[in-house]
Amino acid sequence: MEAAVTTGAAGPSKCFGHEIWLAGIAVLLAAAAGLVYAPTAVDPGTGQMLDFQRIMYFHVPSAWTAFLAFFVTFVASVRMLSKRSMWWDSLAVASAEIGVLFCTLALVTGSIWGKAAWGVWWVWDARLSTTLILWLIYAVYLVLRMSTPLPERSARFGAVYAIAGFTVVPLAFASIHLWRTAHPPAIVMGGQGLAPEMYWTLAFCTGAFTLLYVSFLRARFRLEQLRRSQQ
Amino acid sequence: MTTAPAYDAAGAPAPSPEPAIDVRQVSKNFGRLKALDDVSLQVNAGQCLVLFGPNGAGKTTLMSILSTLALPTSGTAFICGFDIRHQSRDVRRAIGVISHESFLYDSMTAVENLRFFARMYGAPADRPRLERSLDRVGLLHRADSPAGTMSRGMKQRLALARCLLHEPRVVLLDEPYSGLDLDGAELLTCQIRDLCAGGRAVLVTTHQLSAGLSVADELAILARGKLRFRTGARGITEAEFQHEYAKAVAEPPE
Amino acid sequence: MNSLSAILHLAAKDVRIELRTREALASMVVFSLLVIVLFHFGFAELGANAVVFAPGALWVTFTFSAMIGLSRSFSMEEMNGCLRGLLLCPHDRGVIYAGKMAASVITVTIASSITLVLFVVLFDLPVVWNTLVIWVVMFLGICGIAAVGTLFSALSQGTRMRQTLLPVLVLPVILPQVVFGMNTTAKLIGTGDLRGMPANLVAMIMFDVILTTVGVLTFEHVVVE
Repeated sequence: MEAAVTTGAAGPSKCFGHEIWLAGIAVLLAAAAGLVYAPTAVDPGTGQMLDFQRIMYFHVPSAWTAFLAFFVTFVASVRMLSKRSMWWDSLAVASAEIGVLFCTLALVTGSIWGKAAWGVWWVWDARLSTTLILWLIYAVYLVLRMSTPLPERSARFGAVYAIAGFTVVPLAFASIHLWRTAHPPAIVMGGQGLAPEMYWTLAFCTGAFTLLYVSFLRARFRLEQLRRSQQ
Repeated sequence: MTTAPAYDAAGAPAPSPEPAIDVRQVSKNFGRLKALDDVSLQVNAGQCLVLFGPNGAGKTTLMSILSTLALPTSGTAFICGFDIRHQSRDVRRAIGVISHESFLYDSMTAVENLRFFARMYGAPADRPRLERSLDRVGLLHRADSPAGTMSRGMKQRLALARCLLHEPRVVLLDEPYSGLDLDGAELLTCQIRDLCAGGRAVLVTTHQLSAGLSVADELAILARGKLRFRTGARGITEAEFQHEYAKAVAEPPE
Repeated sequence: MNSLSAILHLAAKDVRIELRTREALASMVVFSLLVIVLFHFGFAELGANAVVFAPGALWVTFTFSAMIGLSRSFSMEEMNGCLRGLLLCPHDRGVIYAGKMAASVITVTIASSITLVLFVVLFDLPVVWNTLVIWVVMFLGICGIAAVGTLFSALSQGTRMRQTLLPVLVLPVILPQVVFGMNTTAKLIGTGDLRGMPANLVAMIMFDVILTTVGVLTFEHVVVE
């Protein structure tokens, strides 16, 4: 990554690079693809048209991006501890914040989808429940960092918490999933067969969201580096 | 560690080639604050170096790094040839630490405290041996009193007994004179002299000039993270040193 | 002294101190009793079947009373700088973590065993022959809570909020283990069905092993500045 911007005050506007334009265009295209290009899903049982299903093109990429962001935080945390490097820590905290953003989006879109599909605002299936736990862990990560005023200590503590938290996520998914398969709930959020255009749309939307994540990450990282250099 | 000739060409005892405490360009940053800035110093076996400095000079930070409780941001240090970063367990086996904190469990008796630490250090922990340790610091009569009932001076003496259980070759004392009355300070001075006489390397930090001057073989001043002055104790008078100290402390920040 | 002896020695020291003062044990048991009273008036009095709500209530009690015991883990080492005294011992820092964790497991298990008996008696739960299995599930849950709680107790001690932050840190991370324990206990109390129990126990053991490993590996970075 290039060096932090050195001119002017630590304003967010100076931290966004040109990649944000590319990401913005990609997201607009993704929205178009999801809302217009992709064929409307049809309920296999009743033959009814399910327009609300399009929210999948925002829900799934959000969840994927959140997971990617937290994975980056995990890797950055491990590197930070092994090298005691504050550069890696800036990356960790930047990715965690953006991850919480995308995770919130994933939970909200998941909730809306559930409401539209089954009339309930929440379903306790393995994937949504794990996403909620993920959100809780990283929200607490941010709280922990705020409660630790010394920067190096905040970095170390955050890194340890991020490592423990991320390790738990696959365990959470496995245990909830194990339980669910033994006791299938009334409502199952499954992946029904998807038409090829749907797969492509989903892939494109995921790519667009990832691009958005990367541009947000770079901006937030630069902001963090700027703040630290000016303290 | 290489073996050195015991005597040099002139027939006098040759100094050991490796200093017991070897600090090489250690820096420690907290955010943008440089608590230690490129500090280097050496202490040989049988010597006592007293490091003076006002509060906030970085003395405790340096002691934390030498006792492996903190890692330096850059630079390294060796205790008896062991690297503080990569051989920290060996370093801990070679050092005894006395701080203004006693490291003692208030609800455990003096003997219980000693037995616990003796076992943790792998030293013999039988009662007769522990009683001898207590006797050496004049606390045998309080062997079965909880540490919480002891005065500051007594706790200091118990801490000394604790720190010597595993016969360390290096002893680090961080602000040991703080909170001691005149008698306690005199006793501590004797104990530090005994440590050096026993062939140990001793590093003492303090901001009390007269107390430190009474034990030092070597003197150094640490101010605002930098080592500003270093000399042998015999070549300087107290007044001269006070002058140097005032000068070092008054220097404007860089 | 090798690492295992050091761990046992450190754990023994903590347990001995706790048995002398019995502060944490008393707090944990009294807390459990209060929760039992609350759950009785909140659920049983209002018509709910004890067999249905007891597993959840039991595990909520275990989890929160464990916080009381775990917060002492490092707050007790604050006086006289004792934690630094421990860190100066010539052992890997993971040994200190393991010793503290072992001590917490012992004290919390003692208190929780009393809680379990109180629950069974006061809610008249139909458990007799599968009590041992319920206890084993409880023990495995406590090990997981202690693995996470010991690490985070050391973390909390270094923050502005100290040990009050501990439950906030611990709960999201032990959620899977607690939920799993709840569901397994519910199955044991409700149906007494032991099929699939070995798999459940293995899952809980895996959680404990993984989180303990994380604790042993990262503890050094919490305590060394």
